Amino acid sequence: MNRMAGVMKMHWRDKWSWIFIPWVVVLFSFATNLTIGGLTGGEENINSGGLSSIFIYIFVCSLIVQGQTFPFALGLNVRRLDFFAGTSAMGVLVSAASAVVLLLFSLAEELSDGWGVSVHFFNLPFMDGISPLGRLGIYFVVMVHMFFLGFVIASIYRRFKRTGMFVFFAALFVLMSVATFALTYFNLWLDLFGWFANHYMDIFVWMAPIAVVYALLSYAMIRRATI
Amino acid sequence: MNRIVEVNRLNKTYGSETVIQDVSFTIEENKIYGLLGRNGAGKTTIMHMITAQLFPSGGELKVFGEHPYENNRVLTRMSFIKESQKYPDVFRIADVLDIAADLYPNWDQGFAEQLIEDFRLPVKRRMKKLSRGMLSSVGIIVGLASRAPLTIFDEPYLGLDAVARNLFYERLLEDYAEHPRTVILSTHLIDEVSNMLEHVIVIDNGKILLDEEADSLRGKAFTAVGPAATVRAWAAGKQLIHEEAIGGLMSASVLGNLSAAERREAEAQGIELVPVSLQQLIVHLTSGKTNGKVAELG
Repeated sequence: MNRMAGVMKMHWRDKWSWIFIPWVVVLFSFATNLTIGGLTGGEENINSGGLSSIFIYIFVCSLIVQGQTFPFALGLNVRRLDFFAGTSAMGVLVSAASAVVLLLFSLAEELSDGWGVSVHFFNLPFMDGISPLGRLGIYFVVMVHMFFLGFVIASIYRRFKRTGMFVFFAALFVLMSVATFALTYFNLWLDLFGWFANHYMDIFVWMAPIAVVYALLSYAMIRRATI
Repeated sequence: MNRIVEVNRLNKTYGSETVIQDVSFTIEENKIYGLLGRNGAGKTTIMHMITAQLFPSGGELKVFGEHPYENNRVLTRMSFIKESQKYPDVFRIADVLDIAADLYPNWDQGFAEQLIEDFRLPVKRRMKKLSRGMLSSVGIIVGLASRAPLTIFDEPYLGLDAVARNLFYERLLEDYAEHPRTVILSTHLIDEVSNMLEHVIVIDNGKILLDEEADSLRGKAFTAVGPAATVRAWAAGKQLIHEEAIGGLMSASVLGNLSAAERREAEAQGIELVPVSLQQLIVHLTSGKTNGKVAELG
């Protein structure tokens, strides 16, 4: 049988990590928001940002799942390419399905005017003017991006082990420090936030090619990874 | 004879440390091989390279006539069961077996189910919750039921009791008789498997120490037991690999075949001759004192 499909079937057995846990987390957060909305009687507009939990979760899921399944798959003589392709396909499919469900919630939220209690959980403030298709695209691209971000970091570990992680995080730390210092020194923080406020749509668009770059980097590292 | 594995001057180094040094051997079709040696000798490293889980630092490696790396034609014909295999925490035994069924083209579900019963495995239990012995049993079931043309077992039975180990040997031999394939068995329990092995490769310190048919090894060395003075005189000039004196008695193990005349002569002097078991021979060869005597064996 097709080995890549075999890898996907392997992931599909772990429905908790891929599907149940993220939705339990996000729905729990949503329920909390609804409760608060109910308590305040809908007089306050609630924008909690709890939706971010599902995007953070898929990042973590990608990290963990790769660490757990790569040594197992290789032990069953799966090619690295098939592992990469099967796992990536699973990540993209789960992201697509999640994006559709998020959009349905988002539409319901819109129609019910914040679930009757002014809770804006699935629609972020800037989304008011964006078509359903655009929202679907945003959910999807952010999620795929987070998935491959987790995947590429996990791949650094697979390929370069502890040393790789150390170098990566040390470099990241230095880069962040320099950037923070530079922004403060040149008084650029407000400009940065201003730029974000005006260009967030560009950021979403750019997430797609960046995710592709992560994926390519991941494959380049996975190809040379050992047990 | 078809060559299943061809290894030529294989090397593996980690930085300045050499783990495998100029190892060459071939594995032929439909035989049971024993890959033996002490801990850290490099057995697992070699098997990892054969299955492309590790990369060689130098040398040539061919499996089924091709490079195994990222090669499904080779990889799908192998099954490698190792003691250190990791399983995803959330998987149950049933999950592992179902995935194996998907991935191994020759998988025999009926055989797998029979083995589950034989080893009394709780298929619904999570891998994380299994005892060491049960974990080993899962590996053994995957290795046997996958019926891969090249099946490699690396210390497959850590934590298994004697009954379960026997079960493994029995099932392996039965199934091997019905579905011939090439088996590489790496183990410390040499005595237990020595009757099963058709060919023995001994690795020590990353080098091949011995590569011979098991039959020809069985008559390769003898232990002479008798009065100390007599034995000492008898052993003089022979290749001594081990000696032990208890009181006035002495036992001396020597390498080499003995002719019938030599045997009669020894027995006439009151010396008792017993063949050295494969395990003893390998212990002698790899215990450090006799390193480098391989050449003399041939």
